Amino acid sequence: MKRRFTQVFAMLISVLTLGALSVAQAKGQRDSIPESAYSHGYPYPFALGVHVGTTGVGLHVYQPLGTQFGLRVGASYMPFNTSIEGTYSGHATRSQVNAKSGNVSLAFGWTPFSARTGFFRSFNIQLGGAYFYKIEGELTTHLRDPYKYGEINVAPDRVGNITTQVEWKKTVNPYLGIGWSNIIIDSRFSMSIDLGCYYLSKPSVSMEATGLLEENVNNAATIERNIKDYRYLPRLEFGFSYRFW
Amino acid sequence: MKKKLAIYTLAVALLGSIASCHSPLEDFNLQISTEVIEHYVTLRVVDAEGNNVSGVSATLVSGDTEDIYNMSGYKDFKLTDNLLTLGVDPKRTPTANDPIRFRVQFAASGYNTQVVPVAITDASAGIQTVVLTKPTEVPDGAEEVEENVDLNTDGSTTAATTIELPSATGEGNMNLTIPAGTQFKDASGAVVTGTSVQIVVTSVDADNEDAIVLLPGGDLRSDEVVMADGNTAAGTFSAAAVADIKMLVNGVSVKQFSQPLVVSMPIPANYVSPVTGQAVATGSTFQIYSNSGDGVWRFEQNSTVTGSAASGFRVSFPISHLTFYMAGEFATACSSARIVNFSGDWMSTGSTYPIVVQAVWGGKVIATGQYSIDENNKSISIMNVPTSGVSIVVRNSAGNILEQGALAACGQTTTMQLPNPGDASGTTSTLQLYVRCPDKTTTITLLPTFQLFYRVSGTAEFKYLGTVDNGFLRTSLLKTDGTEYDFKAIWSDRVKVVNKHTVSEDNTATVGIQPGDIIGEKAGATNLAILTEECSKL
Repeated sequence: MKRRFTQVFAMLISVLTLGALSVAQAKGQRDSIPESAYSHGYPYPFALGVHVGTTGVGLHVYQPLGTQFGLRVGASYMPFNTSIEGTYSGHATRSQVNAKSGNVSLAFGWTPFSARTGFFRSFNIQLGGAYFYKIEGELTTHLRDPYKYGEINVAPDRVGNITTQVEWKKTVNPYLGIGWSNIIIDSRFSMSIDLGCYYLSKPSVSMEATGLLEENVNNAATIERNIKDYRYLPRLEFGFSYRFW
Repeated sequence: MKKKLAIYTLAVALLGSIASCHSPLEDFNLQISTEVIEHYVTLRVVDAEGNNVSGVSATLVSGDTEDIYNMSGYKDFKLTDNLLTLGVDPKRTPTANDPIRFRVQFAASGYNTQVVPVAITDASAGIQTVVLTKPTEVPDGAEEVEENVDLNTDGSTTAATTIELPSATGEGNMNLTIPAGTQFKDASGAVVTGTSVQIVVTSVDADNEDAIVLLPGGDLRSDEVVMADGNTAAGTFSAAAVADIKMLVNGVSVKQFSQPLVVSMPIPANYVSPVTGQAVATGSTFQIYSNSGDGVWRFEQNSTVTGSAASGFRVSFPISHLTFYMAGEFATACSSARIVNFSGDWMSTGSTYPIVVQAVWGGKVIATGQYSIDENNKSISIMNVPTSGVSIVVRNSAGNILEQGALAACGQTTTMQLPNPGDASGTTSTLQLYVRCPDKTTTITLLPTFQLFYRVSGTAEFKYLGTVDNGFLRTSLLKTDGTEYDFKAIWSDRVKVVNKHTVSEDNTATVGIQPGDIIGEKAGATNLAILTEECSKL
């Protein structure tokens, strides 16, 4: 799945690059970074970009709203699969984690130091929200080692597994964060770094278990209690944008 | 500067919020059920008086034993109290059409060794009782005589001898005639010599349930009978007369003779064939089967009935080996187990009741089993009963008939609706047991299935209350008027007895060491050790 994630990101980069080359060829190559890019922050030059981060990969569009404000519209999708191991009540387990998150976001940015130069020139504070049309995770847990009951080697399907599903409500979730939205690389390309947090709805947990692990569904309340504060979805995101002016 | 401070504060707050979260799996209590074995049979071993027998050893002697384990998953077969529960490796799923069959041998010092056939399907096999008898005791329904006959130096009888004893069934005596010059041989065929031969002849009334335990397997049913055509089948005997003949020469068991002896056994005049429905008459034919102690009945010959109703009927036949001989009829069984499904409105209340199920053929009880029935366990299996003509009688724990009806044909399921086996007018009490492991704060709901027995305190015999499933049992067999009961719980290799305990409608208790939990006063340390050990298995 990691490979798939990388492929998706690479594809987005390729699309953006091809698009940029097409525009460049059409308008002629620009050989220098325009002074205007430095004379003022222009935190959100009208640009199209791709990003990758904790909420996935996606596309975004910047639209300036004056010299200190901007608007960012984006869409992200994150398929995330991994395997984790743990020991609970003396039993070693292996869990297959399948998480999916998809959102469409809208954020307003304010660049307080846009008139300055230096590191904080493109620094901005962001406020917005995202509609998560999908945000859920599933853990399928089974015993890591073959289970032996007395002298009986119990088949894995008889031992069973535990499927834990965590789900957040599909709704608009507010976002607050900071970032550097226009770190200029050259006359067309810039980079962005965002750090912030979505405030999610209260997660719900459901469990299903089979075989000898069937009774472990009683742990659903424990897990729900443990993750009741899992309402802050961090967003650390790196982006590359192509400016159109 | 103030702006930057605000920004840093925001960033730290965001990270701090994330870091403050608990691990999702904190306090996750991973439990693995110990109910690994789903299909099992329980054998209850008692003496002729129904008392426990000490020092009983159990051995799986033949059959499909590879996947049979004790309930802890080991091939270590010991009785717990008087119960032996044998389970099937979960990799195999026995069914009515494909039961797992094997034989178990029980031996105890001072008792006759008994080998019983056992079958496990996916329906409840219940609790089957195995009775160990003492060689020195002759139960009701049996007659026995012991005689010593002088031998020549070559081990032959000095003169023709007839051993007589009152027959346990029919009119007249049973006779064993030994011609002069008969030599006695051991299992290898070698002649055994001595000054005398000790002969013990037992006549058994196969209609008498006290005497029937003397038969090989303690049952008229058999899982292996070599029939007249040489084929082997399981089935049930209708025995008209049975004899057990044992001989010892100089301490060596006799198995064969140099020439045939003659056995003559009375046949009861009221014998009616369950196969043909015909009453016995002069000229009727009975099949003679023998059993040499290997658990296999073998057809020997046919024997024609002589005599009359007035003088008494009898069959006579020659024998060349020992030890059991039966004159009767044999009805083959279905190859599959017979399944009986019970239903009843009372099941929906979550109640569990013990019932006794009898299979009756030709007016005789040929199989008896005790079963715990509830909503989740309402199918039972019966093996080795004839293909037709069998009826089922269901009794409650008080012995009252709840329902009776014909057993469905081979391959078909018999359905029976049962009225409440308990005291319908009595108060229903609920027993709910929870367990809190010593290192935990929460209770666990994953408890092993165990068998629960009860008696009114001060009485002798424990009665079966039923199977406690996951710590739960609901019954109206217990009075809630302050009557004190002794309870005996048996699971795996453990027995726990709680004496003088009254019950109420709601009897919820938690075994543990937290305030309010019960751990027992008389054997608290032992109970805690058991609790700790069992919790470690979860």
